[in-house]
Amino acid sequence: MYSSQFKYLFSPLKIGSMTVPNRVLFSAHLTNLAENNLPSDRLTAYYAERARGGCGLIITEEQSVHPTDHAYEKLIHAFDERVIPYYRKMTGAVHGYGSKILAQINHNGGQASSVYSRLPVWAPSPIPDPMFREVPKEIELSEIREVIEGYARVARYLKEGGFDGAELQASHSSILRQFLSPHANRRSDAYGGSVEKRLRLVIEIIEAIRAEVGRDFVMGIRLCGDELIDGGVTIRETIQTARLLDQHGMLDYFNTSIGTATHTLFMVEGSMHIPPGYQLFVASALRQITELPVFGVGRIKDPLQAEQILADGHADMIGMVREQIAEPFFAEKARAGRVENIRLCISCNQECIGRAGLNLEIGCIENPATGHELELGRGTLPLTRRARKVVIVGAGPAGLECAKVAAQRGHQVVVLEKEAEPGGQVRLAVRVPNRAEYGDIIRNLLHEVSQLPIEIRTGCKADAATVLAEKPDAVVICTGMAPQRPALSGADQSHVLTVWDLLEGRGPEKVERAAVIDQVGFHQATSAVEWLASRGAKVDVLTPALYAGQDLGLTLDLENWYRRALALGVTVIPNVSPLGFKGHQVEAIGNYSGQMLNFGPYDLIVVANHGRACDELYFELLDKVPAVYRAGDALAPRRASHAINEGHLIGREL
Amino acid sequence: MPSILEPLKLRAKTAPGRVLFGPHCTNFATDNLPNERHADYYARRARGGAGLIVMEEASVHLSDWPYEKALKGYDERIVPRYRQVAEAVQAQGALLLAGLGHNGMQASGHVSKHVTWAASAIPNPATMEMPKVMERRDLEALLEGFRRAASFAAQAGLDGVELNAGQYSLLRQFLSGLTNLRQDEYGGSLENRLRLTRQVISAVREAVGPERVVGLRLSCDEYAPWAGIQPADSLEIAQALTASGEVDYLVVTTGSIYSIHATSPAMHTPVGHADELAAQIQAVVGAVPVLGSDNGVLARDADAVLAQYNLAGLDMTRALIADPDLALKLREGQADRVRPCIRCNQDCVVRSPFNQLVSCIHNPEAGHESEFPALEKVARPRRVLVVGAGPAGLEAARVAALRGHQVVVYERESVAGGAARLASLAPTRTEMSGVIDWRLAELARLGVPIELNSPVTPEVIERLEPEVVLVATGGKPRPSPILGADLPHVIGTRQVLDGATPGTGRVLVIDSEGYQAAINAAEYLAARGRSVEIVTEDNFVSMGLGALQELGPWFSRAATAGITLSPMTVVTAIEPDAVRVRSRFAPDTEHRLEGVDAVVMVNYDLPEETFYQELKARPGLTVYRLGDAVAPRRITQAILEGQRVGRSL
Repeated sequence: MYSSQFKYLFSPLKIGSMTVPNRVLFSAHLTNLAENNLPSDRLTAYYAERARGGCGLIITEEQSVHPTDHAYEKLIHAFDERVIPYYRKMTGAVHGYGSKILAQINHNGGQASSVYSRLPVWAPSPIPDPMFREVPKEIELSEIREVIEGYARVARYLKEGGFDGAELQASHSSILRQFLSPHANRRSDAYGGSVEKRLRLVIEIIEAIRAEVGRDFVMGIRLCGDELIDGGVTIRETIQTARLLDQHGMLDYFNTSIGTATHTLFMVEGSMHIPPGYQLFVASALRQITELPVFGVGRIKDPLQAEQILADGHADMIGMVREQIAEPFFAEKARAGRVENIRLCISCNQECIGRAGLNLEIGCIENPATGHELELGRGTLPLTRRARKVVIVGAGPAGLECAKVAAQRGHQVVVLEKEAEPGGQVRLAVRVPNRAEYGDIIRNLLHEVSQLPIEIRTGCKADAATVLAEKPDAVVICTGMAPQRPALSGADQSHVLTVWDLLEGRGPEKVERAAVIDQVGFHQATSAVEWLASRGAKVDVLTPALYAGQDLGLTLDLENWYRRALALGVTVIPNVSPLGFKGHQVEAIGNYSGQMLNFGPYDLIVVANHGRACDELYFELLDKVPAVYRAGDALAPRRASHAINEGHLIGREL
Repeated sequence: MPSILEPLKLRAKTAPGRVLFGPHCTNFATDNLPNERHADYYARRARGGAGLIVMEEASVHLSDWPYEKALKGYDERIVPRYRQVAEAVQAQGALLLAGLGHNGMQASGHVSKHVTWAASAIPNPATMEMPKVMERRDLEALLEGFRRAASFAAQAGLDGVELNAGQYSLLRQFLSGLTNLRQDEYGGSLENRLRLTRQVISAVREAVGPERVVGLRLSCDEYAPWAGIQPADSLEIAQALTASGEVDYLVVTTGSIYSIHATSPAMHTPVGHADELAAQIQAVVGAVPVLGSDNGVLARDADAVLAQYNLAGLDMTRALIADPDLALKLREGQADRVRPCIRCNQDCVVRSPFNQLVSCIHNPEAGHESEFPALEKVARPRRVLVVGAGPAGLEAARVAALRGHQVVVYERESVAGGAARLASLAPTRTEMSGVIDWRLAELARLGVPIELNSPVTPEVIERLEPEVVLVATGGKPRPSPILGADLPHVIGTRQVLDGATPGTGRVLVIDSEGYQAAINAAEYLAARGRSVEIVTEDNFVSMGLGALQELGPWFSRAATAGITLSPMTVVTAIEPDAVRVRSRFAPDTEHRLEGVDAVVMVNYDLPEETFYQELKARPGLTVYRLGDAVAPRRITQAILEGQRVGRSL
């Protein structure tokens, strides 16, 4: 079926011996859903959900070829033949929905440590990785043979397991990219030196795999267009490499990327501060030199944008990972022209990349079912047998998600919101430079809510009487948090504000010198800093942490925040704990020196602190209605992901 | 005073000795339950003579999921798993207790995707995550959780339970004014703050019955004098909690939310830092036995410490990770043969998101008991030449000699120990030498000659006619790409610790590793009056130290010593009397640091592998390479490879 609206996106494509039904690609990414280093039912369900949602081609996360590669705890050890029965389940499930599935084969090389393997790490040259910080062993020739055999063996297992083909990773975290890279490969033997010599290992692996699985098994390679490392691979070399591979003639497609997972991860999965489509230049360049299909990626998240990229000829397939993490039914909805119904990824990176960084299973700030498809995926939400009257107090992320789920189950839902518009704190977060996309959390939720018989009463400040007057069977308190003055002396002065005050516009028009005090470690303080600095203030940020924005590393916002902030003249003062404000001065103690320190004077002091849970109504109603629940910040002020997850689970429980 | 080897009577149970293997994170669990690996690990310590073994703490309620592999003590599937461990441990004579606790606000909502529970709305300073203030019904659920988990332990035949009111503990959070700001009957006065722990003790005592042991681990100093538990408070707390006679022993520990490093302190903290405090507690709790905490007391000093502080026993957790046979060796009068814990915290402190299995840098068998069965003699001894007397070479020599091979060690330097010896020259790192000294003593006992000042030449090979050569030649300095790095005043840490730093003025340490070497050099030089600054491109100086719980103490020492720490800084060029630097994030900030007359380059070594490549080409010789000669890494990899190669011969 061709959609009139997205003609290119929903046209089939022949890739080697395989024809994919459309151009929507779910490319390889780390999920941490493996169990005992083998694929799991959870992982199968994760891919199957996207296939069910209409995605044309799925490429699994990396399948490792050798025991020396144990870069992270939950890596799949595909050299263990026990993977095959799991593969059969996975490919069967995906094929059942008409999608194609390839598996990525890889060895992480020197982008690893020996923590899990208790074996030396192998790499082309003994250059320690900046993240893992372990000197690898310069791989010997006999060991190169072992790696090649590992790739061939895994390719055979993939074929036996029912995959349509395989992708060689020579991109984010891979011994192949390391061999291709003049930065990582300093060898003087047959595998180092010229582009041809650096490509030798890749060619030998391709030939070994072809010898094992034949020409019909689809095989592509993912190339890194630019490592973004001094002395590393650039687009010029990648074009040369692609040309050589094209002439060699054993591959069926090229996939693309930029950056590496351990040097420049913040450019691999750009957050909302990086322009959409920022990696497409690689696919576009390769498309000039090859007839093979070329896949493009990089913060592509709506069908209009995807269609335009195809129409402009930049790529043949559109990789949309984070979008389909948030919205497994992207393709189905786009094909049907229900564009408004597509839940847009906000590129916040909190639960997909952030959880991966914490060695936890993948999640999504907007989609509680991500990584939990077996329990929460499509088809797991039965209608209630006993429709109840549910009053939800508060139309922030927790309240809206809860309302949506409760109404989907057939409950009668009323949402009471004290403000003039729904959205809770998200309304404020979007006011910060470059963080407007965050607001799509609410746009998406409001759209879903609008499709359901849910009554939202804005401007309704609910107390116990208001709620009881509704005669509810159940009440869900999603009243969020209330800003509170920081517990510091002198915080009651008029030039001391919280971040909420600042974003509500309660700050002075003109600020010369400002201090931002961070007591949270996330976007609150760094956003306030940019807000003030971009309006011309000279800003100092004081934090008890080791550096400002301690949690921004996980969301890949740290590097670029520093670049932006320092360019605006911001000064970062870490390792100090502010104790109070004496007039316009900040008094602090050095965390490690124990010395009393004075900073300022500042004409404005902004404190990023935790709010207070608004739980009064909850306690008032506790014994007055049949069931009372609490979700989100009303329970404890935390992040939007908690709010949405809790709202969702309560919605199911009602 | 009793010896540490004497039995300790606790209720109806008798521990065969007074060495306690305390609860600690292992990351062994599967499905959040104990398994075979736990059984092997604990049974190995029991076999070595530990008297009392407390298992890894199990959470008592699903609101508490502190780390991914934490045990779920409230899950009834734990009963058969407990039983499996109990059978293995009790067969060796030791008592086995379950560690029970709830981490409160020190748990993580990342792992559980649930809100964490706490006394009050105070965020965990490590993560800034805000907990839920526990409601009345939550407190009831918690008590029920303790009751349930304790009865599971009893059902499985364990000898009792140890309750955690030490580090990572909701009970401590309730006891302390630092974390308990409640205004109900669980907060405010000491009496109120004690209420929850008292209720838990009574509930647990009831659940396990009159015969089993109930121990209590108590943090007696939170190092937060503005609001936290101070030593004087802890005397009152200990007295109050033991007054009912329901608690059978106390372990006195220290540390809290702002002092995680004070609970299993690294080698920079004085040995026995909490023993005096334990003595005070013992004095006020009368007949209840008090055990000292895991704070670095050596096996040979254990009896003296018991006598000096009037203690009933000692928690020697890390010492038993390093040497499970500690008590056995004491009993056999071989105190000096105990492999000493050096309190490096590198492989044993594993509570982090990364689920590393507990082990020990100089006992690679720890946590991997099934990979390393007892050594057996070989049928045909071989002539083994070990080249290099660093940790890798010495370990390989030791294991090979134990298996009956005829071993000789050649070392080109005048002193054995390699990089580890060098590291132990730093002011606060002398305990590092334990890794070397213990191996040298063992090799002396085994009669393995160590030839110092003896480079291995082709003539040596001809003369010794070895069948096997183990190349453990270590690393060599890596050339730096920085402009000016070849100037004469640019040196490595080796020269610093050898006392060969040029000049008298300002020293800049350029750190690419983020680990101990830069600190060693900086502290060595600061102690000699030099003005020292460490620069690194990393987000903070010494990034690798966080995992060792050494970062805070080191930053404090740096502040005291006047060492300047400059993170996020790129060195662009070295000049004869200055260094050019800039911010990593702002290229236009380049400036000169003037008056620098020595630059210390801290970077990863390259392998010293020339000798290996030469030998490998020789026919008829079996050659292995191990440790830094393969790739310069840490002591842990060197010793692991030494152990494996020694076993493989």
